[in-house]
Amino acid sequence: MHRTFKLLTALTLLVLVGPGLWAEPSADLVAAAKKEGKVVVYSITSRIANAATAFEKKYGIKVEAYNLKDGELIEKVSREVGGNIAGADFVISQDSGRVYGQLISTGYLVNYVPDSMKSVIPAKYQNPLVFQYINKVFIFNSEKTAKPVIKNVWELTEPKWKGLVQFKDPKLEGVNQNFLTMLTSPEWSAKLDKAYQDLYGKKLALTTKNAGYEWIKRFFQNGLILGNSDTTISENVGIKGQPATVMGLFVYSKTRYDEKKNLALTPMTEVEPFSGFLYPAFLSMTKNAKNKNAAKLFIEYLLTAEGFAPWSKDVGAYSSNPSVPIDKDDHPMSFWAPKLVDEDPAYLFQNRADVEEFVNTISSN
Amino acid sequence: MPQIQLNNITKRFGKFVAVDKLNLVIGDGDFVTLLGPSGCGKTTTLRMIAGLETPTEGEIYIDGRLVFSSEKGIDIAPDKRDVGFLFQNYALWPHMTVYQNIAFGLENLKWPKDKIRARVSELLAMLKIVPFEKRYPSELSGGQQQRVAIARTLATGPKVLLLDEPLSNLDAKLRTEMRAELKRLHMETDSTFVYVTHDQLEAMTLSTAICLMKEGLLQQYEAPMKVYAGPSNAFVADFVGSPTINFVETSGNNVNLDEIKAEAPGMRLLFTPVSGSLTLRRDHPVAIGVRPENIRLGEPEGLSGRIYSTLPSGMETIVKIQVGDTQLTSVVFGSVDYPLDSPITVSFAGDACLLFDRETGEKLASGSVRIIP
Amino acid sequence: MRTVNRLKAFIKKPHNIILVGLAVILAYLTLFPLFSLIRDTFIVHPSEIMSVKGAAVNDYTLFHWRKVFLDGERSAKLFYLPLWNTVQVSLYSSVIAIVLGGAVAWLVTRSNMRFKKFVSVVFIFPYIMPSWTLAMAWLNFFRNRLVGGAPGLFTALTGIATPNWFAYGMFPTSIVLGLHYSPFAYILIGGILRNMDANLEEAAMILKASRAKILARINLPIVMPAILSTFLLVFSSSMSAFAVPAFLGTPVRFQVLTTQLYRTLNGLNPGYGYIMAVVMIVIGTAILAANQWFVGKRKSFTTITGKSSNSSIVNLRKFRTPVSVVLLALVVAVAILPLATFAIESFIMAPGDYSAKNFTAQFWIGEGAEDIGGGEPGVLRNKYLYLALWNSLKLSVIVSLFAGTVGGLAGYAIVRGRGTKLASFVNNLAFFPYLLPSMAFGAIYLSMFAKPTLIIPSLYGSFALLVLVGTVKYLPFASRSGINAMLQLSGEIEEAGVILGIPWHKRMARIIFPIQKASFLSGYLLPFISCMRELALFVLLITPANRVITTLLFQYNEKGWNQWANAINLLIVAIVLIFNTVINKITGASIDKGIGT
Repeated sequence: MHRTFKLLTALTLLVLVGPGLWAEPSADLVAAAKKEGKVVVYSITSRIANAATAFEKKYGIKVEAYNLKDGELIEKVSREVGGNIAGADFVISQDSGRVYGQLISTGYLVNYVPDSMKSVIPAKYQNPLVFQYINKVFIFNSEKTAKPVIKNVWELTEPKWKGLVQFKDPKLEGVNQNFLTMLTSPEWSAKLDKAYQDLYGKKLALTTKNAGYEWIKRFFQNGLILGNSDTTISENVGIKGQPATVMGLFVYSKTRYDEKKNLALTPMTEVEPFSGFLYPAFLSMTKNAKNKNAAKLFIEYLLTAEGFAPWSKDVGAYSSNPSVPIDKDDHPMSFWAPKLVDEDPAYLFQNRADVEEFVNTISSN
Repeated sequence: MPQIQLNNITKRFGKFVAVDKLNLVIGDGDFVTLLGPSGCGKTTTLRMIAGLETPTEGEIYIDGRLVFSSEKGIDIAPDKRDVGFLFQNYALWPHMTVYQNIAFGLENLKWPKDKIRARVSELLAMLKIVPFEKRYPSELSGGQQQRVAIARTLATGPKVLLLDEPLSNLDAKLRTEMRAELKRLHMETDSTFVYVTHDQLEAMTLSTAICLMKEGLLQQYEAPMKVYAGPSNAFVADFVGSPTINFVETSGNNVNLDEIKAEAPGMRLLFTPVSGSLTLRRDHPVAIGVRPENIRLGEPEGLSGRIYSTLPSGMETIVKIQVGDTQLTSVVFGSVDYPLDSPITVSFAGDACLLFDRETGEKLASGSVRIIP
Repeated sequence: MRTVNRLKAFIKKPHNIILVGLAVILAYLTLFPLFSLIRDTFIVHPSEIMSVKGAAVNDYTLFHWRKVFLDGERSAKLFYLPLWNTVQVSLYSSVIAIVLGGAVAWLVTRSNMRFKKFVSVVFIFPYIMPSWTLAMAWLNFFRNRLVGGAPGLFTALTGIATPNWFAYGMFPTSIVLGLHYSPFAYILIGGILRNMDANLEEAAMILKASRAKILARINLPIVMPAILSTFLLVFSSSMSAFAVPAFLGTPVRFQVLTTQLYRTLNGLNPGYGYIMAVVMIVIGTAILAANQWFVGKRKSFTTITGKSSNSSIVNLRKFRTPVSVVLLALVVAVAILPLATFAIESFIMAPGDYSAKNFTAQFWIGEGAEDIGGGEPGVLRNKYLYLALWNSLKLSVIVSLFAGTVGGLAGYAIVRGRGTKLASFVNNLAFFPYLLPSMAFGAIYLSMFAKPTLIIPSLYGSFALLVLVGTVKYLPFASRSGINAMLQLSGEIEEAGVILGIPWHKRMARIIFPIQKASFLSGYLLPFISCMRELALFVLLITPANRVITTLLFQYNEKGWNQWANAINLLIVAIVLIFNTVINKITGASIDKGIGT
């Protein structure tokens, strides 16, 4: 009741003062962008296609939108910009460690914050400019029970969950690898250590460097099923009529398929010490952008409620612009942030390779 | 004893009749040649005897045993017919050495190793191929391959040997040599040979009997010299003999009781049968067949003709003469040379001239030919 | 002076000019990349600054070699185990391909089996289809509950749950690759059996050898060279197969070199990947060398052609019908059924529900719906699909034109210059790309042409790069067709033209090409088909704007958008089959002529 009310007021506020919250793009920019007539974007989120359609309709500027995997996007951009080959004008990327190390520190990506957004978007999201946050959370098949099936992540290392948990192969997506890497950080390994004691009432006996590594090892070795895509995992977890209750750690927004695909997916938000993880997607121009103005216009557009509509109408997407509403069934970032593991680019840059090697060693047969 | 008997053997490939109701008895120790132009069914017949081809109808006996009968549904497999088979292209196994090729059949008979060794050595010596024992077929010449193939076929000592144009892939000189070898082999092995060839010279020189076939039909089955002297029809007469027999195409009429008068442009002939009298229709189309050796040149009272071409080969000379519309071939002993287009007289000797019905090709009579002045 | 004259005489012959030209170009396009690849194993790449601590990009390092070969358990997991898996899978699939393809070849050419025509046409399908179509079909049938979700059709029908080893990993990967490449064996072994002089068998039969003994002592040894070439082809193809192990291996974390290669090249440690590529090339070359040594030792089984007649057909007697039916069922199961499942799957809304109300044409002609696959429109309304399809067709046509022409010329020059060192050098160079695993080959070209090299500008992201890599990669098919065509043509035919003073280009266009049209055209057909269904070669080189249909398909597959993937898969198979059939009917060119030696 309380939440609905809060949302309602926010929405009303938006409708009333919406246009006043941030300025419209300058007429000069629109004109220049229209003159270019075209813009190319690489994106890690497939819903860019819908935004592109809307943008095309609004401004009459043609959009070529390509959906790439995170590692692929980084490789392509570093080659294209590095070789000064015409490619994307701007990109929506993810995987902080690599984006910082390979694209930002090399100057391949150029940060651009529209003037109209400088006062709207919190400063911490401005360099590099964050487009949105995405979360992956523990989600279970709720056909038989609506009650959360675990309270502590260490339960996933117990025999009762053997072979029943799915996770996208971290080799295929950098952010999953980042999540595992973050677990080995002093902060999260301490939290995991504590969670173990809370659950079992005894000290964790280490066979690896720290509690983070220990959890990863036991999690993987408990018959963890590595999938190819979060979409497939969401289907495999959510499909009805399965003998055992299964679960997975995947993109929260996949629960939007529930109705159409007849799935039973319910997220868990109260798992100790984390219910999943969170990662930013960055919105940046490329150094050699050909259609600079159209790119700037599209970037500005994506940061508005209108431009973010393809994402905000479902759960699991959180614009860096705090005045953009979220889905009515979702929780705001302030709800999620303390429950999820966030990325720390500096730590990732230092430790990602080690953890990747560790994961590779324990995960292949 | 290894006698081969074919009763009413017919082989059809779809609509095409390869062999038509063939009856044949091949006696023990015979060297029978199946002779004929390509496509006459001779190879098919040989393969049916071996069991490599299944006849459509008929019966085959080998050595008194029924090995095939379409009616009784008997079809003994080739390996149980106790025959040897020599292929036209030798069919040597390219991945086996000469020794292995020859020993293979003996291995199948489960001979002990040392006996195989002895037998192969014997054959290598017999066929004069000892030095090639360890070679692969691709490293041998055609003649050597031929000998290996023979050795392989002989190794198991088959009583019936079937040979499919074994000499056709050899050059002329080797062929003559191998002919002699084959004839000796026939004597030495004391087995029955059935030999397919399209080379009438081979058939004449080697065999005890020739079985001449044409389009699946048996034409004549007799000893070579009988076939040569008394061909049953024009086809046989034409096929056997080198140079080929001369045909003078005329129309014949009975005259003087049993004589036949035959006229053609530039010649008027009188044929006197020795084989008995015959009656012809008026102006019956006939052909007179005369072997080249029976054509005499330069004798008085002959037909007048012109030298068309002279082909001396040392021992003998083939002379072609144009008489009216007809071209005649004569063989003269020794080397003679006539100037081109010089006039010459032609006459016919002996009483081995033949008269054929031009409509049916049948031989009507044999006899002598005189020239009507 | 004499040298000058000799040089003049050398240049006068067109084939020498071609040979020299090809030697230079191919050395640049195949050997030079090899050196570039080896160099890549010693340097620090941009993404490796996280792993190689304190190093700068392009520094020389032994880090990769140490990690791949000498890092204890980590090396085992990273490299040795995948290598061992690769070797096993390649071996098993070679055996399966040879046994199955060989058996079918024997039945079709040497027995009185029924349905010969149908079997011989359809048996080739798995090779024409993209290799992972069978892998997808396998999953559709035998998927178990390991990955959760709905079990496969087999379990749904029989109630028997498939064990993991059966559904995923080594076993299905070997089977699927074996099936995919068995047409190789069928074509190569069948070619020899068909031309084998039936007398060779008959001679043995008359010498009282049993059927089994004839098979073992006569047929097998004679087809041995064909078996060995099949082994060479299937082993190296399986070794470089990527999509199949990627689909079937992931659920049980079964890794082979290519999956590791893809991961490392796309991930943080491309250096590892380049080393693995080198290892794969070494293995491929070793097999080729062994094969040549063996064939060379046994020399020419060449003149084993002869007339064969009906008599060589083995009567299967009472086994005729059972054998025919089993084979027919197998061929249908392998070649036709997968297509049916793709068709069905592409029309289903909720996975695993095959009731009528769940069928929809959404994924073919629907507009994008927000709640399914993020608003992606159906394949027939998808502009990116048409773009990718157009790219694929354009690429395949251009590649086949280049590869076919160069291969034809190479075949001509190699045969004419037979016996010279130059000719055999060019021959080996033209075959070399076959041994380079596709993905490794793509990786080499990526690293080589991402920056300007020698006279060539940076080609990354250009269509030309795809054309180049495709042309070189498929040159072996085309040059083999060319060599075959030329070997069957007596030199006198061209000499007759030389004497009449007909210039070289006219001799080629008016005499040589027309006579061996079918063989030469086969040299165009194979690159076309291979290119249409190629994934691994292009997957690293594609930029979004020049995406081809297979990479689009792979992307849908990876995202788990099965309906689109199945629809596209069906489209690819249909296009390739139609092209193959039409070209075959019109020109007589066929893929067997390209593979056959």
